[in-house]
Amino acid sequence: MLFKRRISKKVFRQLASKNVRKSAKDYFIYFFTLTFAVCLFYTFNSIGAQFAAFDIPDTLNYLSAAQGAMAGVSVLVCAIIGFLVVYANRFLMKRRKKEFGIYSILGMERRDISRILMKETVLIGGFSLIAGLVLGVLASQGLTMITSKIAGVGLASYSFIFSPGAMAASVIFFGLIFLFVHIFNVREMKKMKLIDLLYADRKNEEIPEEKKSALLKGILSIMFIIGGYLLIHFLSDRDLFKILGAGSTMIGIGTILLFFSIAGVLIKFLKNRKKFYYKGLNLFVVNQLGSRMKSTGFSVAVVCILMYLSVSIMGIGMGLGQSSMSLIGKTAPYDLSVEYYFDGKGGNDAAVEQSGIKNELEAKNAKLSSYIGESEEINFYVSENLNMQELFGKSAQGNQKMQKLYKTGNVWYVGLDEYNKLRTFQGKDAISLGDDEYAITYNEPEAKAVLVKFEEQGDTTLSIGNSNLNMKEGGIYSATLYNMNVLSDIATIVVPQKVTEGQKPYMRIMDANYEGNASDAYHALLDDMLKVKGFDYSSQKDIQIQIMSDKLMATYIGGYLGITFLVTAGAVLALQQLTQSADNKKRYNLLYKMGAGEKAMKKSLMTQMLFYFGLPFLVAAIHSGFIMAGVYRTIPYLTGADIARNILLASGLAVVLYGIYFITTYSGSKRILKL
Amino acid sequence: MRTVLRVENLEKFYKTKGSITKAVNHINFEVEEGEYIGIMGASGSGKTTLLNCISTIDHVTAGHIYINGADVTEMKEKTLAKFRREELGFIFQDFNLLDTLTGRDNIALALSIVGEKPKVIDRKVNTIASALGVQEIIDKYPYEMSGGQRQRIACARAIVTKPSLILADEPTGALDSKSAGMFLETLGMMNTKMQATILMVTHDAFTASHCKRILFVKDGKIFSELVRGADTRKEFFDRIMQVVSLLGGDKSHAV
Repeated sequence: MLFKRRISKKVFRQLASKNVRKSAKDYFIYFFTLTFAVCLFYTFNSIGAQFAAFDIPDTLNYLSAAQGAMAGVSVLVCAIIGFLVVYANRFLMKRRKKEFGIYSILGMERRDISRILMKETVLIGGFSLIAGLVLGVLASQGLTMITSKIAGVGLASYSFIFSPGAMAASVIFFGLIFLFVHIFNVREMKKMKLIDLLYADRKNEEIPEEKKSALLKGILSIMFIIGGYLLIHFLSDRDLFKILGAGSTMIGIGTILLFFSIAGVLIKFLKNRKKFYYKGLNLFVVNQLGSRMKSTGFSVAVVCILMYLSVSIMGIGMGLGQSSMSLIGKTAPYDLSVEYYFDGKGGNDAAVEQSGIKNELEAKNAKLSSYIGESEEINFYVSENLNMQELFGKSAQGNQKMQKLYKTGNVWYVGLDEYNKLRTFQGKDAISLGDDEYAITYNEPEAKAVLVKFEEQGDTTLSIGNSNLNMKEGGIYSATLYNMNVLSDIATIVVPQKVTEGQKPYMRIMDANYEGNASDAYHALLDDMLKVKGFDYSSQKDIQIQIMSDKLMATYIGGYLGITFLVTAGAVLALQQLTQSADNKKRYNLLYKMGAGEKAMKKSLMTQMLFYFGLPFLVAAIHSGFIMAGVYRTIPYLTGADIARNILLASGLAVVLYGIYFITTYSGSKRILKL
Repeated sequence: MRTVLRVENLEKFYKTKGSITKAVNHINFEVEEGEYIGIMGASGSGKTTLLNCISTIDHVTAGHIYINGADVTEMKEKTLAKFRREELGFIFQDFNLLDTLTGRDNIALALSIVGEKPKVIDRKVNTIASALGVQEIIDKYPYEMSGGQRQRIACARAIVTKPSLILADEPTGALDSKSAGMFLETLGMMNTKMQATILMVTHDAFTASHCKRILFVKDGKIFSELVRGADTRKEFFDRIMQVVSLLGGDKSHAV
């Protein structure tokens, strides 16, 4: 123990803090990235506190589901950040090999060096944790504004939001990351030999062998990428997420191949253009890029992949969110819908059929009864002999999504009188039918085209109940028959009321608006949900919350992952370039000695940086453009302006964050090369 | 006189694809307290490898190295660290100062690593600085100093812990002839006035001519030995040049 205290703590602390302070510029990207990560982590995990602040009820646990999803994504984000931190740390360790060598030479033990490292990690980690949390608390106020906008609640009940849970989670998660980093550092330290530490910069660089297959790889890569584009474009309405996954993977493989081959192809091309090649420092730049891209092609490809994933995820997330949001009002036009299924399980089929849901609720002493104002009820019948596929399958051909929707289930029908009452309830005109006519009602917008096609193909006579009915000319109407969370009514047949007589209904619905205090009514509903069994209740408010939480989740997860990917991409590229600049010191020194001007050298550095940052950015922009164009075709209910705004927002964020990394890297490299 | 360093049958081989390079091949010699010994040889002769083995930076293939009677080839990393901080001082061609620390802190660090009491550190640093004439520059950062100044700070750092042996690896390699001259005077002063035992590796005859004894290494073996005796530096330099030409060395290094 006496041995351990040999070097005074003070010296250690001083060394560590001096190192951090003196190499603050080296640490800047590390610090910036960590701070940003902590900020992001806290902000997105604080949504629980935001919901609480707005007092949004979470009866059906949608909000906690959103929160849970956020926590799940956070684990993924943490894994990514953890990888990034280790990568960044390796860069810093590499820059400091010699320093550690000198410590060893002066007789410091590895254990003591590890302690210095730990002190530095704690210092940097602590600072970035605190800075990140402060920023996060501020940023979460901003996010609260967005949440309030999405949730459609005013800022009246807004107060300063602070989430102790998110804070604790940030501290624990990042504490773990730092611990992990430290263990990694100690292991690295143990592996290194003193002679390698001291003479790290004298090692000769090994240049990977020239590969002849560059052109072949290039062609293959283009094929993969185009294949991915086509896949997303033509098949994404079949199964969005599966196809998107497959398409992105193909594009990813293509991108990796592209970055492996592009250097070889480009350099061959440029070397043959002597006029360009021998001008200024072009010769140096071209060869420099050539030799570097061979060894770093993979990581640049990864950066590019992260970028297009990021922009696509952000853009698509926002789009999905808006899409679901535009439904509120259309999907749930009534304050409340109460469903009853005549399957014997409800326990009082006869009573409901006879006196209706409203009376039955009263009979059961439901608190809700006293709040029900205007209400209408409607019976649904299922046709035994007609199924959707047979009836509409042919008409749905050509639209993958619709084809799938019409694949299963029997045809449902309702009586005209009850249907008209509902229409009037919604402020729509009543419709009329001849005795042997039927009409079709729907609420899924894309179904209309199928139904119109069905009418056009001519053979529209149906046998329902005991009658044969013909379709009323132009008898296609849109109406939402009861509250649902999505527009899922692709066709319900409306028949003359007498056709339903004597048929056994499958389900009965009561649609109602509240009377009196809506909030009291909602609380009565919550009570009845638990106590008055046999009915399914779907209130507008719950559906709104569900849709809202869907939007929140899609938008926030998109943003969260997107920004994480962006930061990772930027940081990886930045660190890689800084490492290269450190390695290039001798080369630039030599150029200087050979008489190259400072201006020319700056220009050559800028060209290389632009190439390194610009190429993956350009490729990613093209990729995400194609992916988003493909995906937005399949997201319903969005206007062109919405889409344009999403894409601009996502790509704008990408440009800003990426730009920060580019500028930092360029000035950092200039400093390292003393230009 | 006490023997500070004894090298016995030292061998260091490198294995490269299919062939073995014998960088150091059966070397034996001793260094006594207060000696100022030079090891000369062309590049690739094995002299730096020899120094790296003695300085515990590199591991030997066979043989033994005793410093103050202790066999460093048998030591574990942890004891080696203790050994380095207590028995050895280093001077490198590229100085190896920590550029996050001022000259003063660089010297002080060596003392704090040895575990010196904070109270005496400052006094010791000042004493050594005035002895080596570096008080003026001691509070600058390495990047604010000239090469010669940096190397003299490195000298101060090497001797401040009063090690048994100071090892210098091509210490004038990165200096111009004037700085090199000043530096070598400092080193000579450390040897004569402060009784430091110095082992220096160099390929430069002018630098070597400041030593009291020189071992010539060729192809990993000791080729010959020169003792300065009562010669002036100039006479000793001429004798060195004769051996160098015998070795087939490059005369352009003669200053």
